[in-house]
Amino acid sequence: MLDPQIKKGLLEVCVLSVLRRGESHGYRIIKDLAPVIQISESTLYPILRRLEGAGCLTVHSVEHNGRLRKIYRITEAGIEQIGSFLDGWPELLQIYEFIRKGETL
Amino acid sequence: MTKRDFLYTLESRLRALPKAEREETVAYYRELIDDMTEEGLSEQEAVARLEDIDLIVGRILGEKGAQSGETPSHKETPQPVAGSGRGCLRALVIAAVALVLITLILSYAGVAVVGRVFDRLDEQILSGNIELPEEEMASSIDISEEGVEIRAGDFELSVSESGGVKINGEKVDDMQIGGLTILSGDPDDLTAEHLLGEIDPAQVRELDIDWVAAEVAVEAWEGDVIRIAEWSAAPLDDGHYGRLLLEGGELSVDYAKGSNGKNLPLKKLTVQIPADIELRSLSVDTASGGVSVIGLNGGELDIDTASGGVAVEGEWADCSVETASGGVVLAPGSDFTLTFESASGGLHTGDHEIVRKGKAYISGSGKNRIEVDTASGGLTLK
Repeated sequence: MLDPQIKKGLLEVCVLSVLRRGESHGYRIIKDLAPVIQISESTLYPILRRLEGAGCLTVHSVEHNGRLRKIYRITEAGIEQIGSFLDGWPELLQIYEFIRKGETL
Repeated sequence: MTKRDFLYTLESRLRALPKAEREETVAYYRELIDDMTEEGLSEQEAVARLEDIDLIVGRILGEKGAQSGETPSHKETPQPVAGSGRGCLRALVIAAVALVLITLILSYAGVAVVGRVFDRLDEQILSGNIELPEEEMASSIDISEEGVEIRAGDFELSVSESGGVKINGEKVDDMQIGGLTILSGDPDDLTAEHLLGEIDPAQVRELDIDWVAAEVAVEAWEGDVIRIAEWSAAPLDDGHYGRLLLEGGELSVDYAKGSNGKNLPLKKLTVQIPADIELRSLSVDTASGGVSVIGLNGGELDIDTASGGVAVEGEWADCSVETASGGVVLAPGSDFTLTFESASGGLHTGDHEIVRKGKAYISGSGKNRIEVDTASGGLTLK
């Protein structure tokens, strides 16, 4: 099972990655992520707000079946954020290897 | 829990957040629930899919705290809640309304507006739809035949005799309060019937009715089942049905399935009982609205209503009536011992030949015991 602290860090990038595939709304983001990583509605909300605050996504409302729906769209800064996460991956792998080797000593 | 209940609870629990943020949060959850119901889930199912409301609120408020901890330079000024000047003002306005409502109920028994106005007002203030005057308020309260008007600065609330509520001159409509409604409907216009059940009278020895608002009518009829129906202004949906429970000979009738009486429409209850059935006991407890028990005889009869008249026709071995403000009319036959207590109501004994013994009024053999207690209503014997 994924460590909650690590999961927390991954979720932001996961949300951005969903939006990288195209703009989306809250419920669909949760559904799109479901096969990969579990995210509850109340976890997603602060993440969306944080990402918006950091300029990684923009929000606009569209009418849908007589009500308003918020649509989230990734920004350049958001795309860069994914990039820097992926860039950090080799370092993360090194750490992983270090921990794994310690187990087999 | 319905969507309305959920969103209302959420909003009121997030009171500590600034208004814009609170509204945004509620809008987020509303959208999620709408999305789920669009997929075919019922409102209840959609709400059940969400996390527990305590967890949600904790997470949102916790997140808020964590954020301001990270960036102390951007700390927001804490939003004044209760206890601040504005909070006090809110309490004051509500207290004023409470006073008026009590007067209103006393003057117009049967108008079920209490819960309705209270909740509406509180919601409106909480959601920021009503801007309370910042300065000390110059308030006035007018009570007339037509209803009540309260003014506090620019804020004006009026309640008409029929229960219509206006805030700042605009009619408060059910849907305008962010989909959060309380008791709605005109007591004279409850024509949509929902049959709660038809019960074999052989199975019922005791009947216990717990109602909230609008009339409760229990009467003898020529049918051979006990027929129980509720009546509303518009057809009810499942979440607003009353509830029947039959257990060991005791039939209970409840106003609502759930315990939350806040989002319920005004409902009248009719219970029809075969005329030859004598119940061992019948109890009716209601917050507002008249109660009538007509054409039935039995053991113990217990009626308790906060506001509303009471009419009983029939012989009960032990009859007790308590009402805060309505008048009481009894046709108890000719053999009874009555005690009557009232702060201001009078006693009219009609054609009965009564002998007074201490506090008791005795007619005929005096075998049936009657006890009536009212705050302001009179008692008339027929």
